[in-house]
Amino acid sequence: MLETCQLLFDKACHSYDDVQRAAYKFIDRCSVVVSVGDSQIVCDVELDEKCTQSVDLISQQIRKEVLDQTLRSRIRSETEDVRNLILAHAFSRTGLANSPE
Amino acid sequence: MLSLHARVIPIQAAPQNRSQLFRVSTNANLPGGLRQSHALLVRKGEISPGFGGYLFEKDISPSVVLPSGVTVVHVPTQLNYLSDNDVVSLRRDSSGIRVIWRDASPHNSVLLTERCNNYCLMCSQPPKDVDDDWLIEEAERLIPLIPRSAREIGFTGGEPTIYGERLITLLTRAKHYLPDTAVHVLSNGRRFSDPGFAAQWASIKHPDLMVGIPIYSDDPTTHDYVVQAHGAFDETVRGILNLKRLQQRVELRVVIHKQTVARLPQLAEWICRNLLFVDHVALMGLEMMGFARANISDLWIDPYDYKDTLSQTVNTLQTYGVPTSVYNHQLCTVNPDILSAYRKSISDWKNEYLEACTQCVRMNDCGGFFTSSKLHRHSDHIQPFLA
Amino acid sequence: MSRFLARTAYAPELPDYELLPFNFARLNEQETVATNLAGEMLVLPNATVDALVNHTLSIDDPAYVSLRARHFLRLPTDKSPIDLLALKVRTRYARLEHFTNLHIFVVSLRCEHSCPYCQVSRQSEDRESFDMTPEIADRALDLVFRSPSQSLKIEFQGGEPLLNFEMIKYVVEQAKARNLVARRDLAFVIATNLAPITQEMLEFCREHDILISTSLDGPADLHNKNRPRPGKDSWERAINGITLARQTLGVDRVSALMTTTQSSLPRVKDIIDIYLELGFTSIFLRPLSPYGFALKTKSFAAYNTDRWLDFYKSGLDYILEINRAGIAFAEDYASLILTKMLTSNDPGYVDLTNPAGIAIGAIVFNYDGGVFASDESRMLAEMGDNTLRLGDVQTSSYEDIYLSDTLLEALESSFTLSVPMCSDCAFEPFCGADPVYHHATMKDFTGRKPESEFCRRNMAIFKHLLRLMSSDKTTAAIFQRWANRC
Repeated sequence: MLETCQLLFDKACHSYDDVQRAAYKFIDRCSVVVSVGDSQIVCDVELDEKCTQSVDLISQQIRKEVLDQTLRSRIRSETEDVRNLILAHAFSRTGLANSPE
Repeated sequence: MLSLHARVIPIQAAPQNRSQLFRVSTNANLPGGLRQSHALLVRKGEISPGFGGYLFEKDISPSVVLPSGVTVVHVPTQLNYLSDNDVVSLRRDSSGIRVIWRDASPHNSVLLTERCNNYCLMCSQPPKDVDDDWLIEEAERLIPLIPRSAREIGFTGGEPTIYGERLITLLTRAKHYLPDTAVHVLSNGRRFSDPGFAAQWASIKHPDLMVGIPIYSDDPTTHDYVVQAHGAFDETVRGILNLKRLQQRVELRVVIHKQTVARLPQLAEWICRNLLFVDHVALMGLEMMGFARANISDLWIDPYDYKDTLSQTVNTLQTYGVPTSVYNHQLCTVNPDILSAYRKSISDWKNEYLEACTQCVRMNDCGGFFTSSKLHRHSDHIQPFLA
Repeated sequence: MSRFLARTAYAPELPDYELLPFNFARLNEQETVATNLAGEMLVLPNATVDALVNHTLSIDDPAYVSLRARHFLRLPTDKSPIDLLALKVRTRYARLEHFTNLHIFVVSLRCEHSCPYCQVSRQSEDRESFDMTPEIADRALDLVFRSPSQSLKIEFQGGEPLLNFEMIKYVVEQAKARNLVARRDLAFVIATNLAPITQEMLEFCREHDILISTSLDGPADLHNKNRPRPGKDSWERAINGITLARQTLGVDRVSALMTTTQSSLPRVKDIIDIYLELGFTSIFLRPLSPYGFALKTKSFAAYNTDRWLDFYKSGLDYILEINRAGIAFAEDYASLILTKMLTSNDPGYVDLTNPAGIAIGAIVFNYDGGVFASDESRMLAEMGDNTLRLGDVQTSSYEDIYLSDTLLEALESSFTLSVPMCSDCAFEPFCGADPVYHHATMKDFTGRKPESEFCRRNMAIFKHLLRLMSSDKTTAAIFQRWANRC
């Protein structure tokens, strides 16, 4: 019987994407199904047979990773405009003169 | 330290509406056609007519007949070094003389203005808000008098770029009259943030032109503080980028003192990451003149105490392949590992040595001290090399 | 009386700042590394990163100045960071514009060695079946000169390319003739075991500035065990060949590469010592090759990666010790990564670039005219998988090859900024992709990175290098030199 657990994340604080990206990092030792409830995102974890870590440890690591992914999403969305500006400048032929920013 | 200017006694002063510039000649038999632009430096013996002016080192014997209508002055002994191909500027009223070009010097520097839009804590040429256009006007007249064999001409200030197009014209003039002479302009670089001005600069197409631009930190706040101007760092960097986009040669200059030494290695890394394409980096010791003296308590740090930081900085720059020089330091205050970058650099009219140096076997390889440093503040660790 | 203002007058007026694009990875309980688009790195306390993202970082925080200088945050009045970041990003990707530089010509499959890790050679005298013909070479050269790259490197491989020296001569002479018009920067390399080398061949190499790259797996017993040949004297012949080649071509025209096998893993110091003894100035501590182990289980792979990482870290430690003793000797893989970490340049190593260098960085022309996206693609074909055989020099056009669906798909899946896990990895600027490896081990060009030994190995190396340079100034200075070798 494979060990399982369920992790719940508040939709108001984390996105489906955040949880998905976080869970993906652990697929070498467990399988994860992420689904969306009314107010929560549900993460069903089933450890692989060969996994040597405890289900508690895996849960804790996934939770931390979700926090990190949420931070990354924040950075991404806050910096999207300036990132596009930088890349546009980097790949334009005319160079960087007279940036209005 | 040489004196580059002196009062003179006019023996005969023809009225002038501006200063007079002459190339110096000791040759009384100079071909006639050349004499008008020359001043004859009379050491002994005869004078001959036709020169634009006459400079007497000794008293003039009463039997000498002076050509009429030209300026004749008596120059004091501190200008004994004057020789052929030097250029002098006589005041309108002939009461003073300035030596504005010395052929024997590899480091001639032409001051274009004392105005500046920065106000550096350690400025050795404190800015003055005056109308000193006459300086650039004199420079324009100087250029045709400089010998074509001159290796390099430096233009300094204040901030030369305040002249805008007039500066461009001056540099173009230098290119035309002195096509084999390298030109080095000192500037804070801010005006080049205007792409139009950078383009004008590039359009000179000078064969050997470099602009030396100070950057004092990788931290904009520190740089702005050192130069006492808000937004200076950002403008300066954008200016450098504009120049580089147009393939112009840029040197970065860093004066090392208490406010810049803390982040000196980080500045080196910043240069290697962001401005790797600069042509040269000059790391300079503090000259104890002008504002540097007023602000000495905020600025002074013994170079001996930062020698390891200097080594780390030079190592980083050289590892990344950036041509680097260390100026204005004494050999006994630096680590041996920077010797490949060490330059014996203090201008020959400014440099001196201490009592302790007379025994030093490496004195000839050492740049010595600024006169101002010798007088006011220098390292406490000056020791002769005895072997 | 003083007109001078204090430093505080020039500090940011308002406490707030704008974030610039960056990513981060937790290193341990206390520290996080932040990296940005341009590959700048800063190791920070965990709390600092949180404060940074939450806009609560104080200007008095010791990290604030560095974060601003390295372009992780900016003030609204800072305009130059945009220009500088764009410049640095453009510099990183500049090589893409030049396109294919390295062109590998497999002039013969014949070889007298029978190295177990080699997938491709044939112990045979049959020239007709296993040698490249002039017709094929001509068509391959057409494709070489179609590349827009100003510098073109032609590398001869095999089998043992010296066994078809006539073809090497042919290609070199033809390429140079074409280059009188094309005016590129041509370079030639022969990857050879040096066993068949003769003075006459070396003279030709000298005349045409050809570089030699040979195999040197370590001390004699290890090398000969890895590389059997009749006479059991592969090592002796290699050493002899190196000596002769150096005499004729010059010391820096001869380089050596090792192949790492299970037997190599406990012998890293011995291997490095041989390279030192022979006067080489660097060594490439290569990973174990997965090719030929088609049925590896994941645990076997993990075990191998761990053992290899021990091998690598011990080797690196030893090399750093050597450097601290005053001898300049570098590790090549670390150098490639350090170039990406510490400069704005990309060394263009085809197996660690983004997108991968398959075809667009290097391409392989097989003895029979087959065109392959990389050397590994050729090896896969020998094992029965022709997925990355892009065409044939005699029947495929340049467009057929470079615009083939398979190649484009592989390239796209190697673009780290748009694949799972890589796209949110802080080490992305230093990493790359190896679609051929992932195809071979997982049957998918992208691969599942959490299960990928490529990923695990590289992440471990990034963190290890970071730890080393953060903890010791001398190491940091040594790494700075390695970063600037390219």
